[in-house]
Amino acid sequence: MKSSIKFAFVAILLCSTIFAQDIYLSGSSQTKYGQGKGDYQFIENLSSLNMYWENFYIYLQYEYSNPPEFGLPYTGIRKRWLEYDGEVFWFRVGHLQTMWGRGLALNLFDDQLTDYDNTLDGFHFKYNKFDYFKSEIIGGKGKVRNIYTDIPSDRPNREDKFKLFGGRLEIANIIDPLRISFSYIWSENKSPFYIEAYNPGKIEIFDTLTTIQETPSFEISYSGSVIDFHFENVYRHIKPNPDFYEYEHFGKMDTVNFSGKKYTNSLYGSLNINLNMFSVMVDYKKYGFDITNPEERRLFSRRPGRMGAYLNPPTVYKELEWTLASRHAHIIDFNDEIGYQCELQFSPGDYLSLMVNYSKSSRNAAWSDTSSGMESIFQKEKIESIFPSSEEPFMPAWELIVGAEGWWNDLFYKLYFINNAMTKEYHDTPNQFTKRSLEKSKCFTMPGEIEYSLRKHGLAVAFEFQNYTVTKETIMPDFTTTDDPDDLATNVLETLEYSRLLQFKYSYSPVFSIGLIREISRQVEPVKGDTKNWDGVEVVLNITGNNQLTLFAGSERGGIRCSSGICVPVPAIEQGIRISLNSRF
Amino acid sequence: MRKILSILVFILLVFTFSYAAGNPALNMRLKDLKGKSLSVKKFNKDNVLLISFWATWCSPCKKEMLHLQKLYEKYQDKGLTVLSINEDSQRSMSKVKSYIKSHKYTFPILLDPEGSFLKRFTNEAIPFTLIFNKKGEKIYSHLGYMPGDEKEIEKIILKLIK
Repeated sequence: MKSSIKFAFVAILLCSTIFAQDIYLSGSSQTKYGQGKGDYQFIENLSSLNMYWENFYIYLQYEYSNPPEFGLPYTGIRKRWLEYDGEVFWFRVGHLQTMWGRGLALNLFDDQLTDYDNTLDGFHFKYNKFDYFKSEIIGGKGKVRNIYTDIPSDRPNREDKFKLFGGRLEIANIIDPLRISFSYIWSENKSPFYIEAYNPGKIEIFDTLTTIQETPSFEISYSGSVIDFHFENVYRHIKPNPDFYEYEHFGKMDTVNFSGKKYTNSLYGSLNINLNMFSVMVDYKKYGFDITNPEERRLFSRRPGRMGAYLNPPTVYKELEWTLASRHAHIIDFNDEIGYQCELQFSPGDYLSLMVNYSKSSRNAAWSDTSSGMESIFQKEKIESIFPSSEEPFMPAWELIVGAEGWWNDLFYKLYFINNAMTKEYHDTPNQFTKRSLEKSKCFTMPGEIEYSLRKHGLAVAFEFQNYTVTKETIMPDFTTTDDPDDLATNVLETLEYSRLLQFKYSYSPVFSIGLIREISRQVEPVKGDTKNWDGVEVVLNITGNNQLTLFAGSERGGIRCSSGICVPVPAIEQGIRISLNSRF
Repeated sequence: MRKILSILVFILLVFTFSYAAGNPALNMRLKDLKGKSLSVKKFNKDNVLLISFWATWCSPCKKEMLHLQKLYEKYQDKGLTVLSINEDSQRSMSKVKSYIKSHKYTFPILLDPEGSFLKRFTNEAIPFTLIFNKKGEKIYSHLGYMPGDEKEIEKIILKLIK
């Protein structure tokens, strides 16, 4: 200990003398604490430090979360890297966050909001000597803990590990606004897979499935004054190891075959047209990383073709900024989805900004069960168009958002209408009891806000009205009237729930703001339920420009929180508090 | 444990001795809406620089942007540069240009889809506003937006451009 302290002091004195004039430091600390009735409790601290010396940059982030707000507890150095940014080349060693194109081939990021982190621990090198081409290479290891995208999840916590090496070449400035890129990624993915062999209904981790994925990709983008476009195509070759897995099932040996898929293809395109006060944006996706039957989809972990944890393509849906509306957003299936999105923006002046957005998606294929005996056999029906299907077996989803916002002197207003519908479950599994079953949902949300500002004072009223309907349909033989199994009856169960959110907020710039929030929810169909209220008060205090305290007290409804296509279950707060202190130096 | 202690002591002592002219956090290149890579520091050359971090899904950010455009128009000729850094991920990036064009914002926009530039200021939340003087020293930072914040910002700008 003594020798290390001596060493540290000598090093400090030397470094201070030599480099002190050029070293620059900045840091931050974010502490969060929450407690309420039941199990609601968390304490987290995230401290970050930036250090610069000439072209070098060091970043360190320490995390203490026990118990955490989301995800798994962690204590230790969470992120660290060394970066060099020069005229000719750039490199980083340590944790890497980067994206190639729009993320179809590679997208490494760390989202604290959903506790999703697929950053790579390795090296990244960019060579920028020439104007007309740029090249980069990347390599390292990564892991993703607790994948929540398959909500509702009854799976145990899991950890997907991967290592990858890749290279990218960008050709630009030959025809000025046109850029072309090629990339290649080799990766080895290790995922736990589960089998319900010994405890039916209880999923257990049995072994590790390894896949080698080779992913070449191509991008082209053009950026003009009126038109912009971007197109990206990813082709993938998969090699699972083992090809077959044998296990004991009720005293007999059974086999899982992983060798079904070898090649997949996915693409994304975007077009923007900008005409004075009008802007039109069209996005298109066709993600076919793993088009698979309902049985393999249910046994999530047995899918060797699933996209690697280092991929995160665009959602092609609008990010919703409203509390109630985002709870019932479509959950994207990045492995198997086709769809498009169109958005029109019209802004003649500060007084009006009009927006219309329409998104639609479906799966690439529908499956019908033609099983005989114990063996599952599915018949595949591929989508025949380049557009998503509206037919229920293809699990369609759509969303329409229409809204306006603007300023009228010191008054800000905002009013939107959001309508969406989706098929959430579809089972075409003919047996003696059920021929077909499906679950659909419809949701209408109307969020709005009026805010009046007078010098440093601001007074705002925000609201959201929502009606949410879930319909469950079961088609089965009608044995009450006949013995003929072909005589079918449809059983429909519809559930309707309404939710209302109201918020009053007063702010005094830049010192503080106080908000009173009430959410009311009630089930009205098929039977009228009790009204549930969640009341809370939130205070934001800017102690100084660099120190901010946020305090929430009361109750808050839980649910699903989605950000960037990744969804996490958010726990409800019952008579609790949540405190957050942000400090920067 | 000993290693961590040594690192912390080292950092604290270096911090005590350190002095830096300008903010090296600005030594970073980001892509603009046309895909061209630009140095952030160049926007600070002989100018007071206001940096605003925003995203298309951030309602308070969009409220603040209208005021920033007005400040930019008012003080652009007097030595103010407003630099808007977009934090949309690749999932909503395609909407950035159409939003900017339809609202006729004229200040420069750079893209930071990985949040790397935002991290350099040890922050991950938006809206986040920073003001640098002509020497590149950070004079002001503010997290969030409340109506009236723009008046505080204007006061600081007026002091700095004199």
